[in-house]
Amino acid sequence: MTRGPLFHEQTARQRIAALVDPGSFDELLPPPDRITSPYLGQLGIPVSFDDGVVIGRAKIGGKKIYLAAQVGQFVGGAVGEIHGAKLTGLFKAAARDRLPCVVVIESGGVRLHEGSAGEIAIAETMRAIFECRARKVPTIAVIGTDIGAYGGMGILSTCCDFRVMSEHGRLGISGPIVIEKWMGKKAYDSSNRALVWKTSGGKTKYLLGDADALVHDTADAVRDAIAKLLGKSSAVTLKSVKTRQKELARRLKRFGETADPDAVWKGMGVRDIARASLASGPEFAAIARRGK
Amino acid sequence: MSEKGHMTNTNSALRRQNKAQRLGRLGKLARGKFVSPDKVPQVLKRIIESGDILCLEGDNQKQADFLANNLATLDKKDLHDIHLVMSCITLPAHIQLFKKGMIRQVDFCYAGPQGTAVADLVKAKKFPVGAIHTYNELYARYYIDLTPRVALIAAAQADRKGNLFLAANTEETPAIVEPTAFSDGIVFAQVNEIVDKLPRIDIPADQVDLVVEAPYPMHLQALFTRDPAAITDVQVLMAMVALRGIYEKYEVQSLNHGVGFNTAAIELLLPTYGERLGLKGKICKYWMVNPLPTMIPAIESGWVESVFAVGGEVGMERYTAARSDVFFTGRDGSFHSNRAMGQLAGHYAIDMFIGASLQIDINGNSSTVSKNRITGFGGAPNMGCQPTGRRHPTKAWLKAGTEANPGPGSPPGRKLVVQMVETFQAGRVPTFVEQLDATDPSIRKALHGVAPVMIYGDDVTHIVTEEGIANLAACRSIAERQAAIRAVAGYTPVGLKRKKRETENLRARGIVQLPEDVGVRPAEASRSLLAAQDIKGLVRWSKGLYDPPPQFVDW
Repeated sequence: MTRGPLFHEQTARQRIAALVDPGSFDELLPPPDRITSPYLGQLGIPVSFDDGVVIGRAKIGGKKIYLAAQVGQFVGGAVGEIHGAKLTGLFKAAARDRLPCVVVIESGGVRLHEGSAGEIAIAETMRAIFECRARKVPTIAVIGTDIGAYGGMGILSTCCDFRVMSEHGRLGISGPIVIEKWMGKKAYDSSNRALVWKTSGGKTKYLLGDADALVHDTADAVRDAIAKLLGKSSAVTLKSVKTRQKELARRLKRFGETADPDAVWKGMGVRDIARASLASGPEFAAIARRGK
Repeated sequence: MSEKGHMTNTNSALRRQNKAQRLGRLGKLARGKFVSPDKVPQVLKRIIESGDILCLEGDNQKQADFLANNLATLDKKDLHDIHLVMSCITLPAHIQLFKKGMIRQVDFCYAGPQGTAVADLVKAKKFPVGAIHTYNELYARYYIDLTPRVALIAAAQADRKGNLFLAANTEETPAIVEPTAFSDGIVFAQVNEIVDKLPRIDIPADQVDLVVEAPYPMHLQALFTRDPAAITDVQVLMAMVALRGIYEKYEVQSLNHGVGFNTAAIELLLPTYGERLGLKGKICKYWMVNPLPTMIPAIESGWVESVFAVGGEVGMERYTAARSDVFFTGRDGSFHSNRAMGQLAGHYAIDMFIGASLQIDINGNSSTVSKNRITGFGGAPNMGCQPTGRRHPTKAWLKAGTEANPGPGSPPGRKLVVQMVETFQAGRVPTFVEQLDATDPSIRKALHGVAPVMIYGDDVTHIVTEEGIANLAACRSIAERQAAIRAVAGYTPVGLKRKKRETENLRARGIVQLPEDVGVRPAEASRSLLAAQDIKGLVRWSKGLYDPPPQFVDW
């Protein structure tokens, strides 16, 4: 019964080591370079020598890629100026070299201590992602931790070609506490973990089509999913954007007034909610498919 | 401390008359045994008399909260000089009784969630405590000098005759009802619902005087649910060390586990690490413990022969019913517990008690009391002690006894009493201290000279920390015991005073053992060894039979 480490419990560097071909990771701007936030120090907050994101070149299954992994333990993986510049540069390099780019997201969004710089950095990274997509360079976001992908990083993840999620991952724009603050505890109780995961967790995102793969909570499963997507890219065209807009409008019409997240699952074809709740990754995907 | 007051010279006929008078005062407030919820305050006023010994049912799990809340609506002019006897001061309503000055004396066991409020009451001299007891000690006194005149209890269901069904949480109800009912006291039960037919009868109607169907179900605390996701690698290391250095060494067959994450880690290592060590069938077969969700993988892997419990655990109802070959169940098939009998079993019939504590002093005494928080004991000291009335031998008992080098006038065996703690608590607070907070003069004064020590150092056989094991039972002097404790106390001020030569000497004699001395490689200690790494994993192991409480569900 002994299992390997769980992806959502690993650190960014452990995740990278477990995802890529052994010895293939070549870190760019590594900690010894000490490229740290110029703002945190001024506020008396500790800095990190990688500013909360590890970036570099690597190989998966022999294929060259660019890879980033955010460090959730440092300011919740939030994006500051340096952190964001590292991401921007990585996607630009991917576009230039026509190599797929993978970002393992673990972030609540922009770092409030350097808000404007962070917002701009995220906007620049999105632009770099669209450069990749215009050149048919695959971009993949991996969301598999409790911190999830929120705020600017939530939006950024949806700019990528594909999203690989596990059931631990959460994807959204406003975080649960923010929603509760604006809408009230009756509308959205952020301490109700079941509600939070049923509305923003990997399984629901997979059902709704926001996640392209739902995998087990292990680096092996994440790597296999990435490997399958490395050869694919989807161009952003006016037609694809319009199609997506229509889908979203349909979803809003269908579920916009729904208070019970189970109703969304049922609406998406899941018959046995209890069983589907306990299923993981591909098993869940199979149950959901069978229900349709 | 006899506190029966006016009852001391009352013969039973008078006591019976007095009971009839009290019930007679109810008039139309009751229809037979049944009382409507809105009449409860008036009923309480009539059946309780000032000066009574009053028992409020409530332990660390189950609470007669509807009756307690109604009692707290009364005032000093209605009732005063009450001698309150109860296991656990848990609810804000309990604290109200003190604030209103209705209580002349209180005898209790534990004040978990109200520990801070109790400490404040002590400081304000509004907490006239007789003593803090262990569970069985207090139940025993219900039969001797603290017999309740009125007992307010809680049950799951009553039938039309007043028979009671206690469901999974029998807990301490029989230990309260028996001494009260058989001394012409009044037993008043709140029930979740009144039904035509009970699944089984736990308390017969002729021991019950009054019943109210409460407008809300009794409070049940999920007390023993530990999320495997919160177990750390360090706790896994300690669990591995304990398994090899104690469970395997002594072949511990029967045991009690505390409620902490350390022992949860051990439970989750049995089907993985324990299996690899070939220990299945050799250790951990008979348990006196509540239905711990973290035991599910070990049970499903066939490690466990039987489990008897002092109480239920929220969410384990369907699982325990489905595993009636392991758990004790009623004729209806559902789970059964009994706090007094469970504590008795834990006292006499187990090889080992293993638990955690907030503070351990240099002599091995432990406590969960601090100056600002007075908690108490519960059941740990009933099990974490040497039962010198024990006569039956087991392998573990004899082996531990031999090691302790018994003298001509002492028992040949010893129960293993193990304290398993990290050297620091959360917030860098050291676990090991030169002197317990519990010995603070103000606390001792409030408790008539008794410092609230959870487990006495003389009873402890082993202390396990992330540094290793100290075998206190094998120490030959007080100085040696202190050196052994310092040796495993890590970087706490107590630990920093250790002397290298002393530690080496103790290690050479096997009194202090580091992880490598018991065959554990710290680098191997990882959460990935746990049979389940989160609550959902436990549900999967249970094949969907475990229904975790909502606060633990994220799916």
